[in-house]
Order: sequence, then C-alpha cells, then structure tokens
Amino acid sequence: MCRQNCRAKSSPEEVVSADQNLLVYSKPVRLYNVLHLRSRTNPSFLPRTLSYAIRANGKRKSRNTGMVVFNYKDCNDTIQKTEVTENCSCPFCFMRCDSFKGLQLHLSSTHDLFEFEFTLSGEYQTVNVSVKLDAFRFEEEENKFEPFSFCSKPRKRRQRCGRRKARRLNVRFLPLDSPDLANHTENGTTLLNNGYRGLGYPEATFGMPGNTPPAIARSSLDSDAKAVLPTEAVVPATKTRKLSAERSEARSHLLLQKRQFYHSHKVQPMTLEQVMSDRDSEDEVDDDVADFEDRQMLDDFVDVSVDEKRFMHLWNSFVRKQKILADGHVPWACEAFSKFHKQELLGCKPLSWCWRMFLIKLWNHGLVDATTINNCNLILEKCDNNSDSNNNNSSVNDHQDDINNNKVDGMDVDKDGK
Amino acid sequence: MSKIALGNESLVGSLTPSNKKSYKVTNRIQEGKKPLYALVFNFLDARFFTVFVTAGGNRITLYNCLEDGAISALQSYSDEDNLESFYTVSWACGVNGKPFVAAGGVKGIIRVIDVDNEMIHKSLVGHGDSVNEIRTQPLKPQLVITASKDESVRLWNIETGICILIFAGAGGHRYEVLSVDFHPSDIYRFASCGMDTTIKIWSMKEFWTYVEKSFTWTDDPSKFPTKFVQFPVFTASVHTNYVDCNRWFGDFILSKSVDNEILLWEPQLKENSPGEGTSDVLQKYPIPMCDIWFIKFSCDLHFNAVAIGNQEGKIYVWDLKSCPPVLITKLSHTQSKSVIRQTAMSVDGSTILACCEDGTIWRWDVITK
Repeated sequence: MCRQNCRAKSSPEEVVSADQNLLVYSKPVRLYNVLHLRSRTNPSFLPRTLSYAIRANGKRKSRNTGMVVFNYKDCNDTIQKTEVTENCSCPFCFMRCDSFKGLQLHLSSTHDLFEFEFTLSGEYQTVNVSVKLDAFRFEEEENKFEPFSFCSKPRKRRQRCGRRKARRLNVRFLPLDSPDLANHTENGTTLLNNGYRGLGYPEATFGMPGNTPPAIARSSLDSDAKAVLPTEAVVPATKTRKLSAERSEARSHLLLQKRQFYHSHKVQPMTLEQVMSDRDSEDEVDDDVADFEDRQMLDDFVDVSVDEKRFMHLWNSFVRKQKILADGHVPWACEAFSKFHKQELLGCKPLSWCWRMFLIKLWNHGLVDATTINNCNLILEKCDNNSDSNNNNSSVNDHQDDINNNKVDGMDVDKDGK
Repeated sequence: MSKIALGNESLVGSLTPSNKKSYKVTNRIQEGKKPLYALVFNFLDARFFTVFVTAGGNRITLYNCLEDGAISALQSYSDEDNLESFYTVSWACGVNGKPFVAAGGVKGIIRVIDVDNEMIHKSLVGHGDSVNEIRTQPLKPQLVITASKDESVRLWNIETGICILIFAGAGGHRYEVLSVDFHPSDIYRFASCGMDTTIKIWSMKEFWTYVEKSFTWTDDPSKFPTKFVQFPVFTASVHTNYVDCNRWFGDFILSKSVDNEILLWEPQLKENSPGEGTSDVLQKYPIPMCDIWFIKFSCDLHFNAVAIGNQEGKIYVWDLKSCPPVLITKLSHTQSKSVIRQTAMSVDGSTILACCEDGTIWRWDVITK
C-alpha cells in the first residue's frame, strides 16, 4: 500500500485554506478510524467474508487490479487533496478490494458518510470523494441518536441467536450509481448502518486523546457491560458547540457509571448515587471524633483547671469549625467567638476570665489590637447589661438570631464547620 | 509511650520439661502442597467444640476431630481467585447463632462463609493490603476485628457487612499490624501488635453507639458513618522486634515477638490519662528456634496452657498457671521438620493441632495414664 500526497505546490495561504476546507473530513474519517480499530480486535462479519471471496477470485481478477486515484473535494467542489492507493484498497480502512467494482461496493456500503463519484478513463481509475454534509444534520434533526448498543456488545463468533444472525446476513447491495444507497439499505440494520445510527456514542468519544477511545475499547471487551446508556447521555442538541459540551459531560457520566469507585478513606465501595452526588463527605473533618480527641488531649494536662480545659475546648472547636488558619483571621474569630459563646462566657465567671486572659495573650503576640479586645468586651457587656436589666430578652434573642442566621458582622459563621 | 517498670524482675521459665502431661501423634494429614497459615478450633459454640478450620492457599477447610485420633473433613471452600492466599481464619456467628467462618489473606478481602448453607454470606472489602489476623468478639460473635498490612485495624459487623470503626492514624501502628485480640470480659477493649514492635490497647467505649447502630443499619453498608479512631489508650514497648501474636490473659497480655520468647506482662494504665502508663513484664516463656515472623500460639479455652510451634517443627507447651513458668512438654517427631505456623489447642487442652508450611496438619493427643 502506498499513500502519496500529490497535492500541487501552492502558496502558504492556499495551503492553510485548503487545510481548513479539509477539516470537514475529520469527523467521518475519525469515525471510520474508530470502527477500523475495533474491527482489528473484534472482526465483524463483513470483511472476513469478503477476504474469503477475494482470495478465491484473486488470480482471476489480478489483471484488473491497479492504482486508484482519490480526489478529495471540499464543499465548493474543488479538489483539495489527492491520494493514490494500490490494489484498489480503501483509503479509509485499508481494505483490499482488488477490483474497482469491489471498491465501489465497499465504499458505498461501508463509508456512506461520503459521496463518491467513480470514473474510469483509460488507464486511470478515479474516485472523487466529497463529504455528505447533510448526513450529520439529518441524524441530529431526526433525533435518531440511539444507544450505541451494537458496538458496545461483544461480538461473539458463534451466534446462536437466530434473529441477530438474520440481521447480520441481511446485507444487501443496491445499484452502484445511487450515491446514498446505504441510506436505503433494507431495514437500515446492516452492520454499519447500526454503527452509523448510533453516531452519538462514538462522537462522544472523539475528544479523547489518542486513537483508541477507551470507552469503546472497554465496553467491547467487557462482557458484563450491558451497554446501558442513560437517555440524557445521548440527547441530541441542536447546536453542535453546545452539543460537544454536553457530550463531554455525558461521556464522563458514562465513565463514572462503568467503574466501581471507592470512598477515599474507608475504601468502601460507592453506590452510583454517591458517585454522582457532588459532595465527598470523607474529605471533611469528623467533628464528633475531633471533639472527642480534643477533650482526650486536654484531659492529659495535669496543671490546667477544669474551666481552662473547658475554655480551650470551646476555642479549639470553634477554630477548627470556622477554619481559622491565618493570623489575619484572628480578630474576626475573637469577635465571632464572643458572640457565638456569649451565653457560656456570661454564665460562668471563671470561663469569661479565661477568655480575657486569652485575649491578652493574643494581644501580647500581636494577633489582635486594642479595638478588637474592646469590641469583644462590648459584645459581652451589651449582652450582660441586657440580661441584668432582665426586662428585655429580645436583644439577647436578636443576637441569638444573628448566630442562627449565621451572620456576624456580615460574615458567615458556619455552625457545621463547612 | 509506656515505660517499663523497673525493679520488677521478670521470671524466665526453664526449658526442662516437667512432663506433667505427655502427648503422642495420632494423625497426620497432607492437605495440599500450599503452606497452611492458620487453624483454629470453634470455641464459640459448644455443639462444635471438636470442629476446626484451616486456611492456606485459596482454600478454607473444615474438619471434625473424632475420637481415637481420627479426623474427618467436613467442608472445603476455594476462593475463585487462584492468587488468593489466606493467612487467617476465625469462627463467628450470625445473629441467629448460625456458625460463620471469616477468612482473610493477601487480597485483603474478608470472606464470611455461612457454614450451614455452604455459601458466602458477605465479602468485606476495605483493607488496602493483606489481612494478617481476624479475631471474633466472644461476647458478641457478629463482631470481628481484622489486622492488616495497611497499618490499620478494622472492626466489622459480619452480619450486616458494615465496617464500623477504623483504628489508624496519628496514634496508630506505624507498620504492618500482625495480630489482634479482644479483651475477654471488657467488650470495649482490644489489643493489637505488629511490625512496629509495639502493642496497643484500644477502647471502643466512646464509639459504642456506632457498634450498636451497625446491627440495625438497613441502608447501603457503604453509607454507614464509619469512624476513625486515631488514639489508643495505651502503647507498650515490651518487645524490641516484630510482635506477631498477642492474646489477653485476663487483664494481662501474652505476646510473642521474633525474639524466641513469649512475654506475659501487665499493662498498667493511668486513670484519666490515656496513652500513658507502664508495662510490667511478669514472666518470660522461651521458645527456641522461633525467630521468624508469623508464628502464632494458641491456648485452651481456660488458658491453662499455651502451645506454640517453631521453625523446625517442634511444639512447646507451657503451663500458664505456674510461677515461675513451667514447660509442660516439648513435642517432636522425626518427620515433623517443617515450620509450624499455628497451633490449635482444643477446649480442654487434650488435643493439640499444628499446621505447617509444607501443607500438613498434625494431631497430638494427650496420653492418659
């Protein structure tokens, strides 16, 4: 097999525009590449039978065998690229057809995303190739995306199922001069028509790097794969760009379904529902356990009073849940702590003394300034006065509401530590 | 880290056998070519005190010890994975009292077999590496605890297949965990030991609500709020080498390292200050030629004696009720040359079984005079 690029020399601009015009080929060519790769590991009925026939007729046809010139045309019907193959081989799947007529049959039936014009003039056998642009549009509009069940299923060499066998053998070739004969193939159930109709699936894998789309490869090898495709994975969209985004989502959705996932810490198998939910609870700190460990750690201190331990625990839990990490967070944390724990601080004198001592320590370290300390004291005093006057609890309740609304000075206090 | 109390001299046993009791070989079975790593009598159900189970390769086999030295094979299971190599097996029970067998090994999957129905009841996944030992809580035989190469210990409910607690993290083991054992009376407590040379005592008391929850859990097991316990209540460094077997002996612990001896020691925990305390080594039971790891000892139901094999196929039987330690007898046979990985003493200590690296099971019965 030889593949030659016979494009005439042209100016750089022309080369660029020609390349752009050829982009329209990329989609169908990639589809055929996918199918070709598949057929190597998973040979379908069609090529095996043909190769058998070719071998039998090899000698007889040898005279007719020869070079074929392929002209690739763009939408303006100008030739952008020329290619020559030997032995009447197919340029898309490299199948040896051995005769020009065989090649015609093969191309029309197998690569029906293209339009072919076959000309025979003297020594030259020429095929003009153009892309059937409406082929894609037609499929999308007609909402014909179906689960790619055919390709997902492993092809067994011996099929017991009579119905499927019948479908396989139901390959009929129509007169050659009809350019879109494949569309009229009976029942539309020939091998490739099936693949063609399920275009949604291979297209969803086009974005994959490399030539072997993993999703297809895996599903074809995995005999357990039941080719379950949820409807949303193959919903057609009207606009191609929007489509590709949705496709990529559908693709990852599909991959998520095919694998067994495990929780990161417990290593327990995840249910699909857990995989699909956007929260991973195992990344979060287990507050119950962390509180327990904190208390246990504080219990070890022998020279610390009970109130001091209680205060330390309140502060440690607060700091952990609010994710106070940087020095700059401390002033906010102090005021929020004053509001959040004011009832405890006011209800227990030794505890509020611990808090004041702690504020002074923070001030010593330069983590809070006088204003913050003042603010904290005002928060407590205000509260204190209100409860002392004992005739108006609404203010206390207001503060409580603040906390309940998770708002302190316009900042969020997250009670769950999220 | 605990300190070893000074001034308390531990008593070392003499290797001269008292021959208070003697045993003779009554049977030998070649189960297969693969090494047998575990065998254990059923101590959970009095109806099956004579039944024992072995594990090795991808096989789990149940036998019955009959009178006059006979052994009958009852059931045999082989894992569908040929590469599985079981290291440990333990008896357990379903909530209705049905006998279960739980086995684990190199694959890290714990197979729970419903012996009555001869089928797998649950396969527990979660361990990230080999499972080195499985033990059952005798007071609640649906709870099993597993020691793994992944440096963690896990508590499971085999009835519901739930992983309840994971003991690992900041205060956990730093190398393979080789052995675990439940405290005989304190249901919250167990001990673990391993290649990091330490023995750790853990408490589940604060987490017991989760244990109870595991029995009534009807949702998917993977949704259970499994908790991590990072800090043991006690860490002892009584050994200086791998510790591959530990068993509670009342509130004391018997532990064996690859230093050719079993130690009997007392963990002295400090009230209200977990993690601290001292360990007082009381007695030492020398075991010659026992310096490779993964050799486990066993006791009879009443802890009258402990039996352990060594790497040249001999078995040492020590009296646990005497001080200083007394060697009851040393069992040796000219054809027993292979490493004995584990022994199993029957309920009353009259039968000692040994499983060997060469795939043989030896049966020794006490000689009644």
